[in-house]
Amino acid sequence: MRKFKMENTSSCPTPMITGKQFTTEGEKLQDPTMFRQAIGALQYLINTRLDIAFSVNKLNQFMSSPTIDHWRGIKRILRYLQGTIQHCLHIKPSTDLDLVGFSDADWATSVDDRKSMAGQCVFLGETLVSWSSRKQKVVSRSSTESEYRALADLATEITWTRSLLAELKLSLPRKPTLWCDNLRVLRH
Amino acid sequence: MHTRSKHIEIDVHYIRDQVLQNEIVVAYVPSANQIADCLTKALTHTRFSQLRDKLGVTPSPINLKGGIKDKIS
Repeated sequence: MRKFKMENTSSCPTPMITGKQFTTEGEKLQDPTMFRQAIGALQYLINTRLDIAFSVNKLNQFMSSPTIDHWRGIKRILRYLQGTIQHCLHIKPSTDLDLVGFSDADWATSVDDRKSMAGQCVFLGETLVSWSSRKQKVVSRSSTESEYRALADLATEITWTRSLLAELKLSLPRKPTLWCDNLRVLRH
Repeated sequence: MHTRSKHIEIDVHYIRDQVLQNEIVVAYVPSANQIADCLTKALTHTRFSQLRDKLGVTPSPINLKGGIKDKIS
């Protein structure tokens, strides 16, 4: 915060404004070094603060030629962090070690290339053990398609986690459950 | 299957195989309870903080602010 001269700013309730679209167009930043340093620092922070994962990932996509608007986005994240500086990821003890995964996709939200955003998180018991928020590599032609891609990614992640747990001689009480909010995906 | 969804067949088959082999269960969760929602889009304040709590990102009970040097002096 001190480095980016943000230690005395007022805080924001969320890391990104709803409905905000970032594009490659706009006035370019004179010196993108600061932007890149900020992104680097924030990416490190995602390890324990996944609540900013989506917004950092979004801005990360403009690393090569950031605009003033993108810098504003960074400042918004920093202001959000300012207000939630004490937050961290909690690891809770739980007797029930169920493996549960959530997957979601937001179809064609990237204005520049119409690729979709995918998000997934895996819980072991009550603790979050794995998560990701990223732009899908292929353009999906329907929301079901993007949801399916996200679900397949989650399935591989779950399979991996399970084999890791098996290696640690930890058996699961129940089958892993994958939660998805698209009815058409489930119908297939 | 609809022509538009034919190229997602691999993903479909993979998940279906896993389900048929009794490896996983796929279930529906209403969007309101979809925790992964905050990893795909920007949300409103109330919804965001609600999901953040569900993820387990909560205020720390211990204050870790400040360096060791401050504490010693």
